Amino acid sequence: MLSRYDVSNALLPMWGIPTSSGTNTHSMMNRLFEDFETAFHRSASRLERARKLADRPAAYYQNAALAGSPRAQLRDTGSAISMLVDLPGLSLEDIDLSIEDTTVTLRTAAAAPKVPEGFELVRRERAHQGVEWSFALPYPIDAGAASATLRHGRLEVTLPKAPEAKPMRIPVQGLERERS
Amino acid sequence: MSELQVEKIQSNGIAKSPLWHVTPELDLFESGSEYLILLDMPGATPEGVSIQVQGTRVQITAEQAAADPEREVARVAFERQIELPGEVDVDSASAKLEAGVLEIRIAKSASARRVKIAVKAN
Repeated sequence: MLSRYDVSNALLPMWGIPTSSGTNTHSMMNRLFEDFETAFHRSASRLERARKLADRPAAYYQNAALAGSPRAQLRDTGSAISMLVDLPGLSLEDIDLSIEDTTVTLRTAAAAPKVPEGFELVRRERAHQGVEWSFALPYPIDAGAASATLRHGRLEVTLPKAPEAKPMRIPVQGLERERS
Repeated sequence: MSELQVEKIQSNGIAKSPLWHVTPELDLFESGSEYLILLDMPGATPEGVSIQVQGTRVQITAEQAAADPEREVARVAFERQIELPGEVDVDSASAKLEAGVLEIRIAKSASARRVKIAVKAN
């Protein structure tokens, strides 16, 4: 399987490893994940801490905020890269998503940390800091056709690959006689 | 739900996608007369949310709707329990879900309300 990500690795499902794609995409996906990892976890010690916290995938998902990254799932659908980013409590104007060349950047405003009128804080666990997150994709994107939707506090992003990066079937020609 | 619908859900891949169990973070606030709980549950839909209040214990479960069957990403089942610091009036609980944030309001029971007592000067 993946060289750096064995099945027991708690990070695996976090990155939304495609279950149906062929083995030939693995090295490409590895590069993508490495880019993600670099962008997400600039500090190796932070990553280590996140790994220690993660005794199961859900725990990692749970602790993604501690590692300083938004919770995201990423998938290569063949013709596009599909991304899901959890942004609970944010509205459209809080989110700024841009793409330049192959670099995708997501910036979000901090979710309102204010205590509702007339209330006092008893316990706070939810993250309230804004996110600035940037990573490089391994192939060019057809930026004009990219789309993003905010639904139920989740950002659904579809980044179609540029025509030259899409998988293409090559017709095989041969001199053998066709089967009758 | 009819059998046909169940079949449809199973065949379009939603039922097959992996389900993770996640403990969502929450903020708890109190006023003189009620408790307010905010939970991050991105992707959850109102139909998938269930809230049970028993005594001072509130149990919340929610499931994400699949964003898109073709995405094949893992779905999350949220589950959280919280013990409120004081007695509540169970029947008063109300909740709303907005932008992936679940807001629950529960009134304190009459005996647990905070009352300000004015001190008279002589």
